[in-house]
Order: sequence, then structure tokens, then C-alpha cells
Amino acid sequence: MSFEQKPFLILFIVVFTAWWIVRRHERATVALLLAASLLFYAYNHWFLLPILLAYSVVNWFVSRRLEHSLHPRFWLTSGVGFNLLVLCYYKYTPLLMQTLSDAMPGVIPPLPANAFEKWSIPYGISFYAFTGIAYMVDVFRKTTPAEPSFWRYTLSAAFFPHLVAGPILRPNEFLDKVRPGQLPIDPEAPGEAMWLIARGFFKKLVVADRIGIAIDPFFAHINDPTTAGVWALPYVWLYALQIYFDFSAYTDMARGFGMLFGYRWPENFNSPYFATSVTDFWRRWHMTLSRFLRDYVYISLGGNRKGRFRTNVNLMLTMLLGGLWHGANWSFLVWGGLHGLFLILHKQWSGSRLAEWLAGRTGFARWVWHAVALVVTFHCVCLAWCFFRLTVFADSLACVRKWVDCDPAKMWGGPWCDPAVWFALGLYVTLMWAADSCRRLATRPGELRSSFATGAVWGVRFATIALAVLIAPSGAKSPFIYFQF
Amino acid sequence: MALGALAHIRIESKVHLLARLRRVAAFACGLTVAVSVIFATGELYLRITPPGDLAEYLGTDSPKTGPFRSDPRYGAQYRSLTALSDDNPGKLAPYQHLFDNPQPPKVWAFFGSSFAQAPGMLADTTRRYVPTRTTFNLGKNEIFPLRLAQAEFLLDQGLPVERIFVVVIPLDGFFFALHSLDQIRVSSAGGISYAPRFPTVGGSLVRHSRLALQGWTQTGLHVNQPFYSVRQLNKRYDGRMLADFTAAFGHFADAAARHRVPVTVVLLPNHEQTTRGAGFAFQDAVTPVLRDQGYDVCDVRQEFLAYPDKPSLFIPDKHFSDTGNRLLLATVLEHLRASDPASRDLPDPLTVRP
Repeated sequence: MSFEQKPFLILFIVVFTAWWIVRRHERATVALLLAASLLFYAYNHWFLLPILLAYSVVNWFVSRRLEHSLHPRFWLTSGVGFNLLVLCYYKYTPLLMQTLSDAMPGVIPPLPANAFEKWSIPYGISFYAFTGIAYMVDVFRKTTPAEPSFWRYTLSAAFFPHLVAGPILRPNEFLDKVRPGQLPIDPEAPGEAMWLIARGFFKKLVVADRIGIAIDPFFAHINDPTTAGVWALPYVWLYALQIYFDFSAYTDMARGFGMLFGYRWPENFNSPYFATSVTDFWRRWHMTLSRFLRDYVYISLGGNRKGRFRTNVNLMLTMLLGGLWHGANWSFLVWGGLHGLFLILHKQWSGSRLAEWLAGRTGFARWVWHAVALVVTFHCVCLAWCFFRLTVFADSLACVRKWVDCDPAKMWGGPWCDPAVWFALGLYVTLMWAADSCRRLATRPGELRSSFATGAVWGVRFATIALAVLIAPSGAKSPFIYFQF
Repeated sequence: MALGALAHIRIESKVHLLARLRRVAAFACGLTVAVSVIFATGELYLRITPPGDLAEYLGTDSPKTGPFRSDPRYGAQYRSLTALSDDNPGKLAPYQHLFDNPQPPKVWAFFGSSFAQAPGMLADTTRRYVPTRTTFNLGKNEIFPLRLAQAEFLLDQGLPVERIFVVVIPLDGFFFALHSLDQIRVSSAGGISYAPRFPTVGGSLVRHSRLALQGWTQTGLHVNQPFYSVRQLNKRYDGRMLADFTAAFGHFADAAARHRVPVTVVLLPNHEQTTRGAGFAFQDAVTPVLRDQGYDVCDVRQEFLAYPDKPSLFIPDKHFSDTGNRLLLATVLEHLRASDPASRDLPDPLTVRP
């Protein structure tokens, strides 16, 4: 089930109404939200439910043992091992078998092209596996106590707004709020929640899906004569925007729905394409994953405590793992490797005299340097996106080649110029500006002005949702990109 | 004293109520203004740059471009041979020598969906196994009535044809569930567009507001037969859909008779009918219509149903495999040899049959 589908809308209305009635009774609240979450996850995919429940049972049991056992390291290894093994089994078996079959044709018989055609990865597994690992490590580090109630722990792991595509939450960000006596009984900032949901709907239905319609045919035919001479760079720019709008839309909606039940979760994006270095980009892009990788992988590997060379190795390993987390394909490894390389290069560059001199500029010179850094960073990220979007290596390389190898006559035409896409982006910017202006106006003194602006703020929220539904591309809706991870 | 206090309270509460009302009114005004401005912006967006999915339903106002002119019989027709040629770049050139040829070879022209046109499908299979005929096809999957319009247009332009094959699958008939013939429009720039079905309540709003029209198309109720689904093709095919089918083929039957060209309509079974025992409602409904109009109908269902290894007849996207296409061609050849004395020189179907 997905947020933009009608069954979810019905489920949400029913669950929210029921929650409103039972919210002062903790047991009933936990039971209701847990049942709704399992229904959300298993809708049309009942066979996936045992996997989610197995994760919950193991993580809950291991965390309890971690607190009381004399061998906590053993239990941590077992728990993390289980999470990773199941994750790897589902995500990487096809890749592993294909690679082994290609590498050792004598040992493993060649696999038919459609050998793993029906192989499906339980959706959201990467997210709930990582949430579980974070929980067990935190219990091991004694930064959070293990939750005694299996039901409350399962609710924290499987609560439907964050289950499928994050944000990846730490125990203190959610689990602590489902512990006895902590369950919220009122929505958290309902106006803000509504705006997050409205913004998410608009980002996904209008902007991301509209961009997808314009660019998908190009990427589908990147290596055939129909795209010969076409300039790839604008398509990659648009893909960068599509994946941002698609993923941040999900996070916005997840946070908005969470807030309606009283839970405030951290931001996952902070204008990532305004980053002036790849290091800065990772502080702004998928922030809860970056945080997870930093706290549970990079620091566990030694972080920057063991000299420059080991720091660089740790950075690269962390980013390679981050790449592999996204999917079972070598192209994701290349994506992670490129980001690792950019991070290392930036680290070297930051220590240089030239970088220090440039950072010390003021006025116009500083502005120019800032713009150059922003453009270079954006294109580094775009270069990596080529390997993320196109999972066949030859296609990724063809895409990169077409950044420069193109027919000038075909540069300023084609689907990327579709005015509907650029106007949709313009409409989004206008709506953001309008919402922000109304919010600022509402806080100014003056009773009537404030009431008028408050009405306008609510008007913007409702109209944005309505407009998103009305002007979304008609026909089959495309799923969220991050559902596949 | 008490009365005075009461009056004071009343006045105060009135003032309070008035202030409250003013605040509520201001709130309502703010809400209305915001909603109106945002909807107006949306309307403006759809007016300046109507996206492709909306342009499809803007009728003659659509910004779509193409090589067509409006046609009362098929909805659309090509403006000229050059326009058709430009719309099929490089595809018409190999057949140019056939036009105005005093002694043309025997030409079989294929019209139909991807089952006829796509690489490796019926036209290509015929080209491979029937060397005694020149196979004509443009390799493009046009909308259903346009295939007949294209065939008539090419006959009118002097394409010498011994026989025309119109390949029809049940899915083709679904076109009329989406758009009836009288809903087809041609924009001023020559693109094909459609007039939507308007709602009985609020129809005027949908007619005049693009935002409302876009919203209406989201409901799926804007099509000709909104409650008819693809899955029903194997169960029933009737009413307005069959009437449109009859009309389009009726016009083409007249054109073929005028040019004295025999036409074979090849009715193909789909994947569900062949492998899962689905019904043949579509074929059963159109066969008597086509026979009445004088077409030679070749329904190949028996051969496909009798084939022992049915899954091998299809490729994963449910088009016919090479085996399927050879079985299809062999069946068509058998049908022609049995029904048309002029077809005795055709290859033995056994050499084609898989």
C-alpha cells in the first residue's frame, strides 16, 4: 500500500478516527496502530508478513538478552547477523548467483536470462532491518533500554508511516514515545502536519511523476539509435530533481502522518542540491541514512581516529556499503564508490591552502566561489546518479558519454524541454513561496490580518492537496522510487 | 444595579461575538482567497502548457501536432501522401516504386496492431516464407480506425494490392470502449485528440475549465464506456462499441469494393484465450458483422487451441513467438488456398507450420 493510493486514504481515515476514539487507552492504541501497520504492509502481499514479524521477534528477543546476558557481544553479533543475513539473502542472491555463474562457468551452470524474474525483495526490508540494527546497537551501547513489551517494540519497528521508506529512526526518536505512559494523545502541530502531507502529495504527484513521464523514455533507450546525438545532461538534471522530489515527498508524507498521531520525526532532506561540497550534500541528503552510516558503520570502522589513510579507507568502505544497501547491482557499488571518492577528494581539498584562501574571501568573490562550488557539487552528484538510474553498466557509461558527445541540433529539443515539466516546477516554487508568505503574515500583529492569514495558510494546505490530485498525470501512478530499496 | 450589570454583560458579549464573527469572516476570506488563487494558478498552468495527458482530451483545441485532417468516417485521415510519408520516416520509400507501376508485382498489404507490424510478427514472417508476394507494411501501430483509414488512403493513392490483410486482436476492439468514432478530433496542427464524455452534473464546468477537465479525466469516467474493462473483452462486446466497429469496417468495405481489392480480416486469439480457456466473445461478435460486409474472415482460434505446446506460441510480453507466427501464417495460407483459386501458387503451409 502506498500513501497516494485510494486504499491507503480509506485505511488512514478509519485508523485516525479509531485512534481519536481510543487514544487515551494505551493498550487499545498500541493494538490499533499495530494492526493497521500490519494491514498496511501486508495489503496484497500477505506472504511478506512473516518476514516482518520474524524481524520483530528476533530484534525484540535479542535486545532483551543484550540487557541481561553475560555475553552481550554474542547476542549483538547474532542479532545483527540475522538482520543482515535475511536482508542479503533477499537483496543479493540474484546478483551473487549471476556473478558466480559468469565468473565460474565450469562450476556453476549458466543461468537462464529470466532465472530470477519472479524473485521479489520484501519492500521496506532495508529500512526496517537498519532500524532494528540501530536499536540493538543502542541497547548494547546502553544508550537506550530494551523495550519489555513485544507489541510496543513491534509497533515502533512497523508503524506504517515510516515502515517502507523511512526515515530511519533511532530508538529515542520513536520507541521512547511508545513506551508506557509516553504515548501521545493529541496530534503534534496538525497544521504543520497537513502542510507536510500537502507538500508531499504535490511533490510526488505533480512534480516527480511529471518529470518521470518526460525522462523515462530517454533512459529506457539510452543505448539505442533513437537517442543518438541527444544531450544527456538535462535528463540527468531532471532525474536528480525527480529522485529528490519523489523521495522527499515520501518523507514529508511519512512525517506528516506521524505528526497527526502525535509523533515528530527528524527531517530527511535539507535542500541537498544547495550543498557546496559532497560532504555538505551528505549532511543534507537522506540525512537519517547518512547518520546511520556515520554512527553504526563509519565510527565502528574507526572513523577518523586512525590516521588519514584509514580515514579515507573508512570513508570509502562506508559509502560502498551505502551504495550496496540501495540495491543488488554493481552499479550501486559504483555510485557509492564515486561518492566515497568525492568525499575523499573533498577532504584532501579542504586541507589545501587554496581552499582555505577561497573560503576566506568576502563579498562578490565569496558569492562567485559559492556558486562555483554549488555547480561543481551538483554535477558530481549528477555523475553518480547516472550509475544509480541505469543499472546496466554500458547504459550508465553511454549516459555519461552523452553529457559531451551530442548533436548540437538536438540539444535544445526533446522531452526535457516539455514546458509542462518546467511549469510544474515553477508552480511548486510558487506554492512554497505562497505558503511561506501566508505563514509569516499570520505571525504579524493585528487580529484581523492574523485571522485572514491563518485562513489563507489553511487554504493553501487544502488547495495544494486538491491541486496535486487534480493535475497529477492521469493513468497508472508510478510507485515511489525508494520502494525498490 | 443588577439589571445594569446584566446589560453591560450583554453588550460586552455582543462586542465579543462581533469580534469573533469578524475573525471568522477574515479566516473564511483568507481561506477563499488562497484556494481561489491556487486554483487559478493551476488553471493558468493547464492553459499555458497543457500536459500530454490533458492535451489528449482537448479536442480541436489540443496543441498536438500530426499529419491528419478530420474525417467523418474514420475520425481522422492523412492530409496527403507526403504527410503520411513524413509520419513514417523511411518506411514508405522502399515501396515508392509500386505506385504508378504499370506492371506491379503481387502485393500483400498488412494493416493492424503490433501483431502484424512489429519486427518478427506476421508481416515479417510472411516476407520470409512467401517469396512470391511483395509484403507491404509500415511497421507502425496506429490507433484502430486509423489503420483502416490508412489502408483506404493508400488504395486511393494508387498502391497496387492483390490482397489486404487486416489483423485484429480482441484488444483492438477496446479502442471503441475508450473513444467512439464521433469522439475523435483533429487539432488545428493535425494531431489526433478526443472529445471527452462529459458529466451530466457539472458538465459546463468541465467544458470550460481545464482544471475541472483534468480532474474529470482522473476519475476515468471521461471515456466512452467507463464501466467496460479490458478483461470483459473475452466475455462481451456489444452496444456502441460494436456499432463503431461495424461503422468503421463498413466504410472500409465500401472502399475495398470500389478498388476491387479482396480483404482478409485475420482474427487472432489472445494469450488468455489460447492458454487459459478465456471466452471468444469479441471474435464471436465481430465475425457475423464482417461476413455481412463481405470480408473474407480468417479466424485462427482452432489451430491455436489445438496446438500441443501452447505456451511456446508466445513470448513473455504476450506477443506471438516465431512458432506462433509460423502457425498463424500457415493457417492463413491454408485458408487462402482453400478459399481463393488465385492462391494456388502459395507455398505449402506444411513448410511454414512449426
